[in-house]
Amino acid sequence: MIFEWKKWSKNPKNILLVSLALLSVFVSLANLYDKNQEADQAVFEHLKAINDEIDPPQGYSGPSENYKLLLLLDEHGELPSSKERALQKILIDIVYLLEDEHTAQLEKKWTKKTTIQTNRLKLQQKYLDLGGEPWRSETNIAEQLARNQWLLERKIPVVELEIGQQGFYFVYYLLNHWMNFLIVIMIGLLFFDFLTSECERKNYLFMAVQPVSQKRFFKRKYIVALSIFIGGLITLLVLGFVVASIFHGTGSLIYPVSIYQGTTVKLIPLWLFLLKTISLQLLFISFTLSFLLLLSKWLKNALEVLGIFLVIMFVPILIEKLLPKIQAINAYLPFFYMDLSPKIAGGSGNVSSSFLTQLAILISWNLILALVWRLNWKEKKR
Amino acid sequence: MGKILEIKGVTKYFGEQQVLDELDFSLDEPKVLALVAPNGTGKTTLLNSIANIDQIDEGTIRVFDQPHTDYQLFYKMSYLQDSSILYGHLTGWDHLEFVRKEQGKSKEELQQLILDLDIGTYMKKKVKHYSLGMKQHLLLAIALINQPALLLMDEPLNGLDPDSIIKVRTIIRSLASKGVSMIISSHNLDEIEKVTDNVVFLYEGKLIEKEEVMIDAIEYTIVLKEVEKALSFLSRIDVTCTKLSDYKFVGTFSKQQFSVFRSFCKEQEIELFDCQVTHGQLETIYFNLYEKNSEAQYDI
Repeated sequence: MIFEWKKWSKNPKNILLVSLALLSVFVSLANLYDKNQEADQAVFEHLKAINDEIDPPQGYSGPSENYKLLLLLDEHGELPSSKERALQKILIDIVYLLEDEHTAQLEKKWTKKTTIQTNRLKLQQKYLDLGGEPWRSETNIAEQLARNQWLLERKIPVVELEIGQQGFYFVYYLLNHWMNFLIVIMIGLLFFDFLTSECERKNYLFMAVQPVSQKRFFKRKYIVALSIFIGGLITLLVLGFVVASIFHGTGSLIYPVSIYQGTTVKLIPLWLFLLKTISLQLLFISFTLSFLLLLSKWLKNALEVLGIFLVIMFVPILIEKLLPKIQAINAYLPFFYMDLSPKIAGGSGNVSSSFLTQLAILISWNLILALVWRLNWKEKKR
Repeated sequence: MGKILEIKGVTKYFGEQQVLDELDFSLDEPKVLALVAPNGTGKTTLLNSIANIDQIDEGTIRVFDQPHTDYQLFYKMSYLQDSSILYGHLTGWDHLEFVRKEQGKSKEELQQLILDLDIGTYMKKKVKHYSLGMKQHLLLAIALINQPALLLMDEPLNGLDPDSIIKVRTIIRSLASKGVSMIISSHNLDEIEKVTDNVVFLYEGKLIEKEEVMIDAIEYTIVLKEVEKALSFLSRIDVTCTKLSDYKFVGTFSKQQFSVFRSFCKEQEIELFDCQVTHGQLETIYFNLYEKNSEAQYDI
């Protein structure tokens, strides 16, 4: 195995690719920093949108439907009943809270912001409960409230998890966004010639005249490829975590992540989400590598292997976009496990399986490939 | 003790072309055997088949009474191939260490081998910076780590400078004296003659021993006084000749033609100053076997 590692690690192509992967972690971090710079503006725009749903500008004389405050008034401009008066009071309180929340955001007082935001969300929910019109710019109030409650109980400041710069949130970002399709592309680029270049250059003859069985030969290749990739992945994640933590702190491992199950929303701590993602990702990587090596054994030409591998991995995803009905079976096919975020968090409405089922599906596919390898050895015994 | 190598009815095709044709051969006792044939006629295919790199279409091959498909044979058999099997971006030491571990040999044994072959100075360099001779010595070291009882060598002297040839030749002789069986493929007839007397020719997919080859024609270099007269006579009896000087020519004779020519010289009182077979014995056999069939397709 040491020899396989030496062959791979001394290949200039691989050194270049690994360097690019390392570099891309820093690029991602810089990219997140940029997004965060824009986050204040995004928050302001979101708060303004809620405010604009409530309060008409001065001198407005258009239809009342556009503004919640106008909607409460009758044709004489009066509040017809105590219900409307109660709703009006709530709306005015919300307007004040929106202003306070914006101030907290600008001052980066995150705990204060979480408290104000929670109060605002409670009022928005109360408004709905009293029969008020649904909010156009805020559709997931119950979910946000649950999340804020979780944060307040644990004294964790609210962050935008998708663009969080702190260590653990950056790991979340890397696993869920940066690595989705990159994993397959990186596996393809790093290992497409792991077997085939030896066939093309006839180097395999060097191994073929040693007392090594073909089974052991391929097993070594697979274990080395898996170790390299998983080792590389862990290195990237640790590197990302360390660098992000140095600049922005570690964040919290118990930050809540929303999990959609049908119409209900469940919150799970970030560490559990990461654990689930990494478990499925490892199984997916194992399947993908095994599949790539099998393809290399059959095709014997490096570029052919890369091309066909990428086509087989990506075409089902493209077909899924074109034929939404296929979504019904995507939980059972391994190709759809590149993008794990919707698989674990749900939300896209196409997730029919639980995490354990998904785990079982990926394990089954790994076993199926192991069986194909086994049959292959029997057919072509040295 | 069983047979070292036994080949029975081995046939091998590359597409439509038959390279080995129901080939039978056996090596019963340790010896150095030269396998001679022009390039592209199946020498490497035969060695690859013995080492189970190329799969045979028919027949059986047994090495030390075990089927040749048993990879454990490589604990006592080695195959020295051409240098394209080496990894250019790795060092000689990387290659040797891998083989040492696979063969279960100690570091001390490997160090000794490196000392014996005198290759220590460049083992830490990458193979892509090696000369052909250096690569050949590395391949030899790789093949010798397991102290093989049977060593297959594919063109071991190809492209080597005279110093390296002498060194490799010395190693081959030394191994032979230790009882190592070797099958050496080559088309370098001069060198083969210096290493062994046991020669087999691969001809039309079969192995023919040197003694079995019928020699139809031998090329002689003849020195005599009346060259023109001799050449004029020889052209009448269909002997192909080339005049080298006023006293010297070369001609290819069958046994009968040569006998007729000797009688003619006697009758005409033409004094023969010198008459020698132009090529060595092997070369003569080689020419008789292959040159007459030079139109045969050797494009494997």
